Amino acid sequence: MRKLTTLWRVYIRWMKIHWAILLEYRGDTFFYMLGGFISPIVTLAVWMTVSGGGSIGSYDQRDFILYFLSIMFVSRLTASWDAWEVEVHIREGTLSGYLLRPSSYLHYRIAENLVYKLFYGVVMVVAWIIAWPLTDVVRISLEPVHVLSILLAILLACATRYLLYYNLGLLGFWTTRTSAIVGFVEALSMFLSGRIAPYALLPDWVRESQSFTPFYWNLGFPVDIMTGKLTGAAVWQGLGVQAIWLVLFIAAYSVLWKQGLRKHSAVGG
Amino acid sequence: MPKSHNNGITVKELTKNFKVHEREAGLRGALHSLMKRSFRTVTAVDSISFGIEPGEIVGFLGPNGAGKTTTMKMLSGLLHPSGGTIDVGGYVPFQQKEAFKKRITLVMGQKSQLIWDIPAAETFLINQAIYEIPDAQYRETVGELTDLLDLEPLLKKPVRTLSLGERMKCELAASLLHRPEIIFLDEPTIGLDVNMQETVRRFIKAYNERFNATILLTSHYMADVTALCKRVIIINHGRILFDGDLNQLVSTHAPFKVAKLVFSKQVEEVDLDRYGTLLHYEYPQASIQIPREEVSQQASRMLADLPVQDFTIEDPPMEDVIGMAFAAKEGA
Repeated sequence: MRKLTTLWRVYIRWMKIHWAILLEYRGDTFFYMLGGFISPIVTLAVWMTVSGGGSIGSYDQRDFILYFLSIMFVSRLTASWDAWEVEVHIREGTLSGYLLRPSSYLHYRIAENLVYKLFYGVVMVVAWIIAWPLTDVVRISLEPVHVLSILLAILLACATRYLLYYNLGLLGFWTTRTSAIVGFVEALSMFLSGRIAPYALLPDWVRESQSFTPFYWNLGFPVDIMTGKLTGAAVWQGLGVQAIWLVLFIAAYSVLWKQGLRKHSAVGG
Repeated sequence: MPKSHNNGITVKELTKNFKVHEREAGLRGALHSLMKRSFRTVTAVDSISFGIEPGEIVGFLGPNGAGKTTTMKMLSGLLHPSGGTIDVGGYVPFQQKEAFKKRITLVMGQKSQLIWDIPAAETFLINQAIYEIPDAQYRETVGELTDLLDLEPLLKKPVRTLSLGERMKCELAASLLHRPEIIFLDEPTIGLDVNMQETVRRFIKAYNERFNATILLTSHYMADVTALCKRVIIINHGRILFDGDLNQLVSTHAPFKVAKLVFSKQVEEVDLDRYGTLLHYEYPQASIQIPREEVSQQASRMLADLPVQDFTIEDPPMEDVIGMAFAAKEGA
């Protein structure tokens, strides 16, 4: 109980600190958020042109708009930049300051992630609410089970994508340059997550690969629930697959962290 | 579980090897290292053993790259030793137990633990939460530290806008909020002006007396060592060259004193050589090195024979003594 109270206090404190940093760098935050919207908007424009006002596969104009709006929404909420941050902390030796304290470095990192996501989340939900009476494109089903499944899917996607990048950052214990590996994973994810096109429109072999990589589950899956393209048993099965990926990434984290600390050379002095 | 609640440190045959990736410069080197990576093992700390009693302040000295910082990082649990055993206050540091972390601190003059973009006061608050410091104790400690280190004008400024010296003071305060009983200080006075060095020294001394804290300290400033440490450990190339009383170090490795004279009239250089080894002569000043046992005899001779206007006898500078200790060990 005392441990939980302490953890709660530590999170509140870290979050206040990260909020202060966010405000200190509000210009960066604004452009970062804006930048995140450009790729889905451009991709949407391409699809609108290609479809020429008609449909492609099961997607008509409205479907495409809702799909890419949902991509924006989910990808902002599940974003993780920890691969770069963790790597820098390891490479420059600033990790030492966190290792000395009797509280895991992971809490510090997660608190930062939460602050930015709460901020983006509030901004985007408000924008969505404003758009609601103006256009029927954004009017998704508000049935409680549907909303609950969206929330669960986004939550699981957040945690999994977060740990994927965190773990990539931990590779910094072994190699001083992880950015090349991260770049490779980013490129794969661009295609396999559903960011460029809805899964339904991708070639069969890509669709068949979806269970074997975490990318679809981190983005495409929650979006497919939001847009109503996935319903019934497929939703619950998907949530199960997400949970399996999460467990795998937690296990990978604990191995990488333990082994990494032994390799850690705490540079600088 | 701690074997016993004390603040002592015991180190036995502690060793740390680093694997260093070697690569020649230039494109050729880069290509070659792609095909075949060559590694070299560097022994940063080579089987050292020592003990530190609770409440003791020990100076840890040696040139750059001697292994001081690596040893401190192993003692504070940041680095996994390649061999040997460490007991710090009853704990094995690398196990990184929370109870252990609450009892120690490591202050690195060249590596900030403060959060860079916001005022130091925020780092204090996060440390209060993490170390579970009760409000009353927190207020008291922060008040004391603010007075002692004159932090008041600094606490509200973003850390990145502080000078090195100002940051160092905040760094010390942040690291001591939880009142650690075992303290590792790596260059705590680096970048500070002479007055501030003096303040920090007094502060360290007072902290040690008040909490009976065990302190291991490295510094490039001999004044820190002579003011704080009775005992010093000298390390070079990862091995201990000397471990013992500071005074003993001086008498073993510097069995002489230096006479400094100011003359009222020009004196011939050959006349000065008779009293000892002439180190320096530029009228009107001269310094002469004299064996300890001859000091009083030679001093009275000089005063009788020479046109002396001013006269002092000093111990040689600490830097020189340590230099001589290195020279003696390496020659042996």
